Amino acid sequence: MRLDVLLILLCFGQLALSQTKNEKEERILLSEFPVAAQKVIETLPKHCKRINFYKETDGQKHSFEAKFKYKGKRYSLEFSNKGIIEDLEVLTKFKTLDEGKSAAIKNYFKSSFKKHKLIKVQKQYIFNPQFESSEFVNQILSQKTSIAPKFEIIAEVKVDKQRELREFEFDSEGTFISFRIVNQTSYEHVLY
Amino acid sequence: MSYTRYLLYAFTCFVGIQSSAQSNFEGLGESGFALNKRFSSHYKFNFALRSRYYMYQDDALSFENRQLDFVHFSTLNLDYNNALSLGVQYRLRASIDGGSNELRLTQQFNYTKSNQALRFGHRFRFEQRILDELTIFRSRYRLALDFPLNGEKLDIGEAYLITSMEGLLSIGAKIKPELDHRTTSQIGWLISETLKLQLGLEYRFEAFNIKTEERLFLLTSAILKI
Repeated sequence: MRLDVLLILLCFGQLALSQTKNEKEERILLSEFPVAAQKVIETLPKHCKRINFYKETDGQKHSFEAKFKYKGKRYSLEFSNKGIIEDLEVLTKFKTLDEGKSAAIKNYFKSSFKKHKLIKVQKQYIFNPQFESSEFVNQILSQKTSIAPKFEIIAEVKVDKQRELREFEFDSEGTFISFRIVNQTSYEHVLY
Repeated sequence: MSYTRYLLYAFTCFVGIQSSAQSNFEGLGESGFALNKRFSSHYKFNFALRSRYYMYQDDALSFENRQLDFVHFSTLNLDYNNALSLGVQYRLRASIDGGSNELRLTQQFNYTKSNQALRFGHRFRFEQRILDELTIFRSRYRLALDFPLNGEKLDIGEAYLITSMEGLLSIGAKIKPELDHRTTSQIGWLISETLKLQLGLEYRFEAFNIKTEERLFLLTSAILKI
């Protein structure tokens, strides 16, 4: 009898598998990166630690990401399918943001939601083609860049008595631009 | 992270030495099927059926059913990291191996903290185990660590690992206080958005403050989200 149940379960599993969107993040080797992106990676400072390479697939769209640690900070460098830099993100603590900007962001959350909890805060430097790729990256790493970052914040907010996980985008002054709902994935083990 | 890893290594060596020196050892298997249902962002429930059986006892391989558990947990998510749960479990044993049936009530608090791909879970549990002739009050704390085996996000078709250590203290009017320790390691697969399969081992040192009994469990489970 137990076998029957398992078989039915597996069938259900297959059905669900065939219906889901092809969205995937996988770890790959540097050699699998687009050549242009490999060249940028080679120019990174020697002290970059724990560098990992990822490929993200969303339907037909591919992008590439290199994540690393430099001088105690976590960076994530994203490339397009052709190996052109899209942005460089750095994980930050909210309290380290400039006072004016953090006040504007805080104000937005307070006035828009009954409750909020910040989960992840990142500064996002969008690539500007007037710079050379390696120059763009190294200026940010050495904190000498003239580019003002945007802010990307993942927060749990309460909307109509329901809690939602959202990714918010704020401009370089801390003004709200947009948000998207983050799928909590099925990352819940029976353990919790 | 590296500190935790060293601790795990040290403990694994310790388990190795202990198990070769002891003879009161039993090997068991536990298979479970769980249903999870989320009603809102605040409330979810879990219903599970578990069967436990002996596979190795008295220094010989043998198969013998031991018990069936019917488990229910209701969980109130306080926020992204914190959750409170209440559980009730009925253990059917009398008609299977002659042991006492048991009604178990559980109160639980769980706190999780993520660091990139790693997730730490701290779980505190208080249990009242109501058996035919006695009631045991048990407190337990578990530290669990889980992470996907590919990348930072668990995608469909990918595997994940869960390891945990748990300490337990049982007290009751008719028994001596008893201390237990459990180490668990499991590998799981996210087969589809709704289905997970898990396989693992659990090593238990039971009553190690009185007379240690060692048990190795082979764990298998299927978890379905509806």
